[in-house]
Amino acid sequence: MKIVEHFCCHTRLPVKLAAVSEHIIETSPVDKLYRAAVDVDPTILRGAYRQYHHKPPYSPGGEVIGEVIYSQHLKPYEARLVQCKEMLHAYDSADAQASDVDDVIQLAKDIILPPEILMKTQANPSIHVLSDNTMLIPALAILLPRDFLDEIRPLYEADKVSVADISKLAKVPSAYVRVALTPRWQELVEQL
Amino acid sequence: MPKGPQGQKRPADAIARAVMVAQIATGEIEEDRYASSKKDNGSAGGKARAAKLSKDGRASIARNAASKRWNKRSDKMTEDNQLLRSLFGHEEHGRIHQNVKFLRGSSEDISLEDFEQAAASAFIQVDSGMVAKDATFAEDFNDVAVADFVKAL
Repeated sequence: MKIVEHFCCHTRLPVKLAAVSEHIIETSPVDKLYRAAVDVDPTILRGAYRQYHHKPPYSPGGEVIGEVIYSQHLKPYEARLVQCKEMLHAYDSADAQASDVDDVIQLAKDIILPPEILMKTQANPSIHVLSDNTMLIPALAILLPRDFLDEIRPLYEADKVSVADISKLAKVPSAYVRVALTPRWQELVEQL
Repeated sequence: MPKGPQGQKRPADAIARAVMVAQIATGEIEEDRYASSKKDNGSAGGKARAAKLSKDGRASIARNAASKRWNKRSDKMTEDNQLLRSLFGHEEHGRIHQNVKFLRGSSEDISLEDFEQAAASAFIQVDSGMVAKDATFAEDFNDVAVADFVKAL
């Protein structure tokens, strides 16, 4: 994804969500991006993204609105990652967009399954659920930029810096920092 | 031949036509003497067909017609499917749905009903103004230069 490349050389951390949203508005079909923290159980739903074309009656033109919705009960670092993941759906291709009723019904049925079970039970999962499940990877790659990881990985391997330190600097949950520090992470990001 | 609003006959002469319209308007003559309008003729076939059919036959035709009128979307957007209504139910306000995506929660076992309810609740909270929408994505964190962080190690 081009946005991952855009942030790969970021030299100041944490990467601000405002910078990410600004870049998305400049480079995607979305004209406005909003976020809202809602009262939902994060064990059921952590976040959502909704996009619509809004043209009030009797007004010319219209605009594309993207809404990032996340559970207000998430811890701050996880909330950042969820928001980043959801706003990246502004780049969803027409095929990957869950745009009609059938798409939404199928997506809801698929998304309730943990990804590993989905892959076992469905030979060909829909592009909607695949794009939904994989978007955490570029989100994490934005919040933990490539150049930073290249610099910090040797220090981590030499025990000079801990996962907790990196998590605190980048404002990303420790569990995800650990994933990004694995040797195959960059390979995975480049496959996107 | 000039015609009235429902296909009634009118005089070809403009003055005679004006007089006639004035007479209709003032009630001097009755419009219904031109009862055999196009509208009545147009529905005559349907009335004749209905008269020949049994009650069950008429009901069956009505059911089929109603089913065709309700398109696929409407069939699925039942009263209790609030998720679909929260996404697709705003078209009269000029809002056309384009995309929706989710990040499921951490629970291993999530029922479809619970998930749809949570998602619908989230969208309704936004649409009803119960929660504020923010376009700034502002955060309280201060950023640090990576080089400074590395130097300090």
